Formats: sequence, C-alpha cells, structure tokens
Amino acid sequence: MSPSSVAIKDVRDSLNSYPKLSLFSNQNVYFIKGTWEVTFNNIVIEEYEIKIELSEKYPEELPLVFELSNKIPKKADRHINPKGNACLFVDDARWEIWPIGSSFLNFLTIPVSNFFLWQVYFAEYNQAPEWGERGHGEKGIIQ
Amino acid sequence: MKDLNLEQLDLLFDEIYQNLDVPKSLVKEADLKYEELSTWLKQDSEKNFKSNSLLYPQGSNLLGTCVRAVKSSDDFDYDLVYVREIKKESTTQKELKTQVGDQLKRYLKHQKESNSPEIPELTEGSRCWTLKYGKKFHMDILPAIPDLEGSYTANKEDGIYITDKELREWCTSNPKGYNMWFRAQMKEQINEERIKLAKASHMEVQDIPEHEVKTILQRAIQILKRNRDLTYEGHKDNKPISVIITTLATHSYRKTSSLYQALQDILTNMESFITRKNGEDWVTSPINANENFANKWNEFPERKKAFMAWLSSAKEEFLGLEKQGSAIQLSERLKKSLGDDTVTSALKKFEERTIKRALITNAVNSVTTPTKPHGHF
Repeated sequence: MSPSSVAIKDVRDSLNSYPKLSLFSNQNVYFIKGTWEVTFNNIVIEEYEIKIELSEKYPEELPLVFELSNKIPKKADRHINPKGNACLFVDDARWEIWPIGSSFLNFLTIPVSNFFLWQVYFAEYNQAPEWGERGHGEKGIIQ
Repeated sequence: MKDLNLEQLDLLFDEIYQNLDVPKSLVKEADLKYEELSTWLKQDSEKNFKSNSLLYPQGSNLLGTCVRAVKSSDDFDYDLVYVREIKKESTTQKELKTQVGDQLKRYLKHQKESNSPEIPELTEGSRCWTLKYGKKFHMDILPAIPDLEGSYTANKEDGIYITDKELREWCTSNPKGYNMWFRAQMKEQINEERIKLAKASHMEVQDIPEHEVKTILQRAIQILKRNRDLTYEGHKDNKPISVIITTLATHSYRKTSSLYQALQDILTNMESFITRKNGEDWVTSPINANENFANKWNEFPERKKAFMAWLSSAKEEFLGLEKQGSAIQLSERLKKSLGDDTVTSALKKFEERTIKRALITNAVNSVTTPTKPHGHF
C-alpha cells in the first residue's frame, strides 16, 4: 500500500512553491528532503535542513516533520517529540488546521511554516511568540 | 535619527560585554597551566616542607568578572592564592615569600629539565610572585597561610594571612568567603542563566556548572572595570581597585534582568555604600565587618579622589543613554568609554541582530492562521 497517485501529484505540485525541497521515493515509501527557509518579504531569516515522511496511509496519517540540522534542541519544550519529529499541533486540532482533503501546500504554508517561525522566535527571544504554544501531553489537549 | 529604546540598549550592551570576555581558548590554556602548577607545588611542598599546600583561583578569576586587556597586545591576569598549611608562629612574611619564590624557581628548573615547550618568566611583586606566559596571560601567585582566627561571617575556615613587602603586619583576606557572598547575592540570577544555557545547548540544568554562566551583575561589573581600565590607562597607582567596584556594585544591584538598567542602578547607588567610621572612609568587607577595602584611601587621599572622579565620569558616560540618539551616535560616544574595537565590533553584531529581530517580528505579525505547536510525550 502507498499514498494514492492523486495525493502524490498534489505533493509534487505543492513543492513547486518550495524549490529547495525535493520529493524522493523508495519502494513506494515517499519522503521530502531539503532546506526549509524562514523568510519575510523574501529575505531569509533562518534555514533548517528538514525531512518530511509520508506514511503509507498519507494523507489520512499526518506527515512527520524532522529537523536534521540540529539547530533545534530535541526537547519537549521545543515541541519535538521523543521520536524526533516536530509536534506541529495537537492531534485533535487537525480537523481545523489541516483537514483531510486539504492540499499539501496548506500543510507547508500553515503548520510547518508556523512551527519553524515559532522556533526562530524562541531562539532569539527565549520565549514563545504572542500566539503562544500548547502545553505538553494531556494539558495541551485540554487547552 | 530615533533614540534607542531599552530593549535595543540591552541588546547593544549585551554585544559589548561579549567583547570584554577573555577568549575561552586562552582561559582554557591558563586553566591547564594552573592545574599543572598546582599539582607540582603540592608535591614540592610535601617533599621539601612536609606540609600540605593548596593553589586556588582568587579575585576576578574566581568571581567571573575578568576583563580582556584594553590592548590586544596585553596579556590577562590569572590571579591565584597559594596557601601553605603552616602556623603563623612558624614563619615570617619574608620567609614565606622567599620560600614560595624558591618553589617557583624549582618549578621553572623542572620545566626546563623536562623540555617544556613554554617556560614562563618569574618576577617578584610587592605582594605576589608573577609567572608570565609570553604575551598571553600572567599568573599572580599570592603566598598565604591559614588564618583560623579571622572574624569572617562566611567560610571562616578559608581565612588567610597574606604577605606584603610594604607592611610589617600580616594582611588578612578570604577570597573563597568573598566569592560565596558574591554568588549568594545573585543566586536566583545564576539559576536563571543556567536554565537559559541548558535550553540553548540541549543540556540538563544540573549539568551546567555555575561558572559556565554570566549574570547581569557580572556583566555590568565587567563593563565598569573596562571603563575604569581605559580611564586609568597609564596611571595605575590610583586606579580604583576591583574589589571596591565589585562590592559597591553588588550592594547596588537591584536584581534587574536588564544589563542597561543594572548599570543605571549601580552607578546611581554605589556611592551610598561608602560609609564613614571614626573619621575614615569605609568600604566594609561583606564577610568581615573589621576589614576595610578602602583602607588605603585614608593613607593616600588621592586614591579616593581618583575613585570619585571615575564614578562621576562613568555616570556621565552611561546614565540616560536612551536619550542619546541612534545606535551609531551612541556607539561613537561609547567608543571613548569602552574602547574603539570593542564597540565597533559590538555595533556590527547589534545591527545584524536588530535587523533579524525586525524581520522575525514582522514575520510573526504577518501570520494569519496561527497554530500552536504542541508537545506530547
């Protein structure tokens, strides 16, 4: 089993807006690798090497985002879970933030983009931006 | 041009302070030389005097307030105390000083015989012996013996008698006790800095030693000491001594987390902690009410005059900077107070960080669909 060709076409099309990210496949396993740029008005503020894994059940299952350049401490308070993937939002919020049927482009431009911007802000100011963060574990789900 | 706000002033002073720190590679090199000397002196003392001895850091080296030399060609001070565990009655200041000098001469001989790549140069000062390691750093080694009768309120067991060629009576001191007091005054700030560093360096807080972090108070003292060094370059006799600046600054510090505000608080209040006792000026040791760090002021009034002149000029140079125009205008002014190279390099980094912060703020403000990252474990 692997993601549908329609879903993969959507991913390919979405990556046209992100020329520094490329889609790779290996025996029906799909992943994206490359440089994520945090920008404002096309000025690059920070760069991260990233990998996004698409599971066999994509898009039902969320893509997993990994930061590979080690610029982000792999700790819960930086919203990296023990497996090393980014905690982009609480699972229950998916239906609001990126419901099934949404384009992969929306996934990149909203939760992924916000996640890395949050990291840049935190690294500079040692605190979360005004839009905040959710707590960890059950506390975060209740919020 | 717009005046700088407090956040920008903090950012600028933060960059300046980083240029005042002695380079870590140099400190590491000095640490290794110190450890080597410490081991050698201990063995030499056991062999030749059948007594224990201990070499340990003191002064700004222990307090974390060392400042890079004004000229890049100058070396930095690495202050040490060498305590020989013998009774006061069994020696004299002169004998102790001579014996320590002989030990250091034997150390140099040993270094030569073992073909050490770097043989320091040994010289004698009025209180201490100096080992000079080229143009990089020098170790001031202060001979001492235990003073178990001192009336210290902290670390009584670490009181020492020290030698001084110019004085007939033994002088007393307690560098470890003073360090304990100094660090106790900023305990919360030390812990906050350890948490920050742990977050930034992927480590656990308990793995960050206290001396790895710098508090706002330590940074403010470094800035004031650099200003003092520049003001008294070439006039060392009357240069206000570090322990007076450190003590008065610590009393005046209001636990603010802003470096700029800390400088305002310190400079505004430090004079009020100079007291008068029996017609004399006193800067009382915080761990020994009978010890006056300003005792020389009474003998040499020009030293008090020099301190007050420095304080007055430092106030003029550092107070109210938020009304002094743009970063460039302010930097021109600060170059005179803290050195051209220090401020020029800090200004460059300040500008880069200011641009970065503006971009981040604009990017954050332009987010139309905020999503909160979440940690589940």
